[in-house]
Amino acid sequence: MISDTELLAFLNGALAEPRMSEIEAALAVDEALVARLEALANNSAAVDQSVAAAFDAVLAEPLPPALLAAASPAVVDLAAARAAREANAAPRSPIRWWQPAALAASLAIGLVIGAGVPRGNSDALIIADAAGTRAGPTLAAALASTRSGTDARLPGGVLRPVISVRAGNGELCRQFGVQQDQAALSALACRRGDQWQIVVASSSAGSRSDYAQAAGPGEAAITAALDALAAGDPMDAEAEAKALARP
Amino acid sequence: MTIVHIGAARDEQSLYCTGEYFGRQIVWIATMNNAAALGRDIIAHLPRLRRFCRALTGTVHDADDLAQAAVEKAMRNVEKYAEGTNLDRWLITIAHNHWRDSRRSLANRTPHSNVDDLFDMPGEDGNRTQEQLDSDARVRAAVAALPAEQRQLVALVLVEGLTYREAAEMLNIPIGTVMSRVARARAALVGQLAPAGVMPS
Repeated sequence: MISDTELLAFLNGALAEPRMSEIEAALAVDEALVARLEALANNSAAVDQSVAAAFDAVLAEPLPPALLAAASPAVVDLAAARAAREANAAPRSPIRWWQPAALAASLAIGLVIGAGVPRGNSDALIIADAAGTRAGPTLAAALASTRSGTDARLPGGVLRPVISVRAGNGELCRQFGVQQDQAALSALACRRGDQWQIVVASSSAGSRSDYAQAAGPGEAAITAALDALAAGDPMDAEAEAKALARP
Repeated sequence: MTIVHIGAARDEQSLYCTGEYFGRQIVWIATMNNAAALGRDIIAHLPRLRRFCRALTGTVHDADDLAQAAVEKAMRNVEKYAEGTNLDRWLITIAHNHWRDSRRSLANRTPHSNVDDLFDMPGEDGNRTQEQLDSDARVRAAVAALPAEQRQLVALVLVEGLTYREAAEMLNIPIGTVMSRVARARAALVGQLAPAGVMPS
């Protein structure tokens, strides 16, 4: 028979051998004894709560970018990747490019487009993470307030929305371009809540052509995406202003 | 090969790319592979992993190093992860093993003895008062000052919420030992914190 006094002494590590080992052995096979010990051990709700609350505060801390990056199979900056390829005429491992599934999938969560824009910076034009591929904060704000055909200067380039359309599901979608020093981006994004989800993004290096004419290689894809979205006709200025004002 | 264009599909699970290869236009559709799916799931679990690592290591810096090592190891072992695996438990096991192994190879660090030396940065949470943040930091410092064998059980049982039995199985030690170490950890924490008025005695 094991008394509560002995069990408490066991918990406190204050029991002499061989009794310590005997109780340890009994606990391994006697569930009822485990339950008794648990009842004796669980009389310290205050300390348990203090500890839980102290570490729960960690949950609210912002995640370090390096940790987020570690969860991405690869972080690919299109402009940087292209620059690296061009600087290195013979790619080190051309075979890797024959793994489209792996490469593209890694882009799905690790894509940051924007030449010269540091990763994890709020100026990133497009960020892609667990919440989806979407416009960065600066671009999102500009998309929500810039009329089609006019320019907005962003830290990562000059934004020019091309058209606004209403998708079949009611979402407001905008085709836009961003001209950077060494690259141009053309893309289609749809507003969901206060985010602009990227449907299609296409980046081309060195393009200085007027993106408003939108004749880049991404144009066919954007047209195809607009079809897939069952998008209506481009809005006129008045309809667009209304749609932008009403989230 | 040059990738000219990448489009994210509406389901956000797949995308398509266009590009050229030896001058020929090519198009392919890609579905998110296991590594990407795992990464996406891990990102959702990072706050809990950081919380566990903070309790286990005691400092912000060591905790984030450990969390990062655990995530990297998890991503390298993507083939061992199946949808439906308890990802929390998997990550925590990886983190704990890494911590234990690095302690072994590093010749056990002595536990910190002075709570005031250990003040870590308070968590950033607008809803908590400064007083509460200070007391949180004090509690975390008191946990950090525990011997490692007790601290790992505080991390597993009090912070992560494992049962005594689950902790015993994970550490491969008898359940009585688990309960005894947790009890001694609680007593030590009360001894540290109650006199400072951080916690009701």
